Amino acid sequence: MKRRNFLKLSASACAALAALQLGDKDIFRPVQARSAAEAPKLPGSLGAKEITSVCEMCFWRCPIVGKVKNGRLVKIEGNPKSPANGTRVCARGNSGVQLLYDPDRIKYPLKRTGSRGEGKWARISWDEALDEVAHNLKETKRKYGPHALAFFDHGASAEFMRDIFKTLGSENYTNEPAFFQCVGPAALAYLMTYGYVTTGTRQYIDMKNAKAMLFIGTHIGENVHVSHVREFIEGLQNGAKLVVVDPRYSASAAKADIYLPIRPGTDTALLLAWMNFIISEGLYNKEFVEKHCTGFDELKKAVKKYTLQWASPICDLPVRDMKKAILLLAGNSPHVAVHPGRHSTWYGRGDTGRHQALAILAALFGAVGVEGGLYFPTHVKKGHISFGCVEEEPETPAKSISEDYYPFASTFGSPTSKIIEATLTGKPYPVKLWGINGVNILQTISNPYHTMEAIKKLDFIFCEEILPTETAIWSDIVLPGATYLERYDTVYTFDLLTPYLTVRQPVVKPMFEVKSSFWIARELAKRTGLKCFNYNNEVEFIEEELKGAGLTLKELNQKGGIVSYKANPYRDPKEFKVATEDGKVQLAVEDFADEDLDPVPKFVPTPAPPKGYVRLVYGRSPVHTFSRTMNNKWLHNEAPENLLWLNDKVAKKVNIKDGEEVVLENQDGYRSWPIKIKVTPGIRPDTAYMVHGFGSRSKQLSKAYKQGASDQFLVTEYEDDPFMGASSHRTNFIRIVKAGKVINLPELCPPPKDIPRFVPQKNRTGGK
Amino acid sequence: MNKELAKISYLLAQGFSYPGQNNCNKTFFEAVKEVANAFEVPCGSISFSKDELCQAYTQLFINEPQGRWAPPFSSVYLSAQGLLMDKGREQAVKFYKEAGLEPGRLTEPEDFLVTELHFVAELLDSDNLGLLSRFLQQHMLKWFPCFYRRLKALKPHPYYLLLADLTSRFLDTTYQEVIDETT
Ligand code: SF4
Repeated sequence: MKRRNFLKLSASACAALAALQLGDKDIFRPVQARSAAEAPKLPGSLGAKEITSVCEMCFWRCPIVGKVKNGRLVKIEGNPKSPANGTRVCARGNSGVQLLYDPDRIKYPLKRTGSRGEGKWARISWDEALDEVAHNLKETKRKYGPHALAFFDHGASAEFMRDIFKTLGSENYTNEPAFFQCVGPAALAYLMTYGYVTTGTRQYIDMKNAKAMLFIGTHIGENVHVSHVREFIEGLQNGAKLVVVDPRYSASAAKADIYLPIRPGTDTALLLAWMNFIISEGLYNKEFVEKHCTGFDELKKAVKKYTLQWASPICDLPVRDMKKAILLLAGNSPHVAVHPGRHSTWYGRGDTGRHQALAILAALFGAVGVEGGLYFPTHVKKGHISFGCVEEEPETPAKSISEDYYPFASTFGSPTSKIIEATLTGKPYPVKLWGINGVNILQTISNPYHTMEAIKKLDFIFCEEILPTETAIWSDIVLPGATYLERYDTVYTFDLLTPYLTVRQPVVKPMFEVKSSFWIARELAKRTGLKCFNYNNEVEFIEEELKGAGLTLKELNQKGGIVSYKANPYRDPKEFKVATEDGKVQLAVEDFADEDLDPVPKFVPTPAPPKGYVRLVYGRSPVHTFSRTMNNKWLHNEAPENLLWLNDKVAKKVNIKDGEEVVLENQDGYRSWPIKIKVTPGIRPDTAYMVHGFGSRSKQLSKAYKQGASDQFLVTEYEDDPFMGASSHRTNFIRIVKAGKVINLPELCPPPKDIPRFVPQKNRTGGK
Repeated sequence: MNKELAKISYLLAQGFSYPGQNNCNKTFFEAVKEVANAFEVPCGSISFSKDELCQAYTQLFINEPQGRWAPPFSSVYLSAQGLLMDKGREQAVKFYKEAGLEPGRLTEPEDFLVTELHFVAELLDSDNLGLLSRFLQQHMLKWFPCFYRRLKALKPHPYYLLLADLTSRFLDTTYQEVIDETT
């Protein structure tokens, strides 16, 4: 357009423009003296302002320093004052920058405009979003009662919102997939054996000072938590021997002195045979057992039938190797780190028993409260805070999801599988509203197809999310949560070998309209008419917590954001006492017997793969956390997709080459996204492995969508742990679809007759 | 002349803001249409409901169900990483500072299209044409065409396509005008 034309034609345009109020005077303001001071012009993070905080790229919570230049976070490093990680962070810790500045982030409150799962939204105001959530919470409770409300959560910041569900009177205020889909069986086994949760978020296992270590499925190195990995490596450097039991030659297995490639599902058989062996050979720590354990006779009797010869065909391991391993471990007692594991929802029926067996084995070595064994947490003092939430008198349901299905479920909350069942069937009572915070339920809970069906039946579903995950696209209202780099949380104490106290605090201003979890919960409580959260902001309660430690936030920051304490992990044999009722280690758990469950673990075989299939197992990548980091550009560049590990002999028989792209089909006919094959001798012929968390189904995750295959979407068959109701994840089997043709996989290690074969259920219909 | 161009810049900034009372009414649409006529961009009558535009805006500029969207932030186009708060934002902030300004109210990063259009308007209003010419040449005309291409490829809602067409022409025209006046 030529200028004169513009001027000539602009008369009517000018009139129209004049009719409008244009130009928002608030968008710009004169530069304020405070902000005018630019960071010195130095390369990279040099000259940046340093703010201490706590990482949340995984749940390990390493202390960090955020380096901020001109309002932008340019680098994350470990807090040099941290006794646990020092200046180190892992690849994920480093990549927090990319999470913060990911354009795909949820930026504003969103309301669903399409159907559930479609991901069509309109941006709405915070008032509208909060009012709608509050209205639905009240209305659902009025119509169906408090238990119709269910909350799925993960992480410390989700606890604020959890208080709302609790205060509203629901028994389903904590259905943490972290317990019911992950650590629950292990946590219960150790809690009942030792009286404290030896493995939960953290594992109290002294690898650094161990003379020998035992890992059952644990794959440190691929599973990275900075201080944990460091202690493992230090232990090896100090000369510790390592026994790894795993159907896959993992990163840990590569460092093992003895590697036992066990048949999946038979770990308890091995552990029971080992226990019997050391008891009958007199290799156990008699003094420790006599003085500090109860139930030894019952244990001895119960394990008597489990010999190494019996275990050999079941575990598919030579007697010689099993014996060599147990002699190596027993020979180094009591300084034996029997790693308690964490993710333990493997096979359903035997999961608590397997971890109970690990806990007992550690006690038989006397490897408790000593250097190199299980140790005691060091309590770090901080002030107690109460949010003053006034709970209504709980209304007991005729049949409780939390208490009436599994005897030990209520220790952790309500089993996720039962919440989903109640949502689908209305039994034992209807569940009509879900709130979700900090967990991508469709990539976490067994049988996501059931979960999606259940969501369709809900009256209302909302979530607090950072990224447009599968959970977000199935929600009616999405509340944009602040990342850990933009918010405060409560004070964190670390009670492992290097105890400290620190605090998560914002390193930059929140982006867009995202809000902290505390702010969201407080606003929701107000609008729901609840008396809750009697602090105006996080700093108020942080100060109160710090007061209990004799600190203020300012003082803590002056000290470098962290204060360290002396550890008290070991016990003099004279003072040794665990946190059970009689102060002794329970080698047979009477509370289990009272509920008609086995007081001493038994071997309960998990069904073997049907003909033509292999068992699907999964694990971690050192550069990813669950399904949470696949959209992170740096981490995506490191590991953009997962691979399916397939045994080389199996691959050769069906002519599958390394790097070939295939689709996987499970026993129920459900198929995966395409995935490339890694042909390797490092996995058993009856097993296939992939890293968990890939194959996102949310198109809004521009980097993660359809990258690799999701193990979760192949887990349609599950069994609940009879002790606490956790759902199994390794009870599914796959075969291969190549160029549209289904390929049955040959069976190279047939199961012995003691192990039944899996029989697919006829009524399952697979979505291809 | 500069005041009129400033008004158009403000209008476009308002158009690219989330639909609300101020930018979703007859008078506003009328003004858009007049500007379209001025730029000889064909357009029929403009009449869309707020709900329709809210949905379209969310899908194009916030989070889109198919993952195909056009983030209205310069950083996404100016850095190899495609991240927010990167090089583009750094450039924009530098220019704002040179003008003695800093963004105040908006919660979006400083290189948000709306903020940058406001900045153009401020410079036009204050006749700071030297800085404007550099801002356009060294920054805005480096990324806006990429954004415009990405948006067009998405086959967007006609209203936002129109606004993008107008913005493209407006930036080119303003740059030419400023060059004319400063050389
Ligand atoms: S292990 Fe890595 S991701 Fe986890 S908290 Fe530490 S630095 Fe962060």
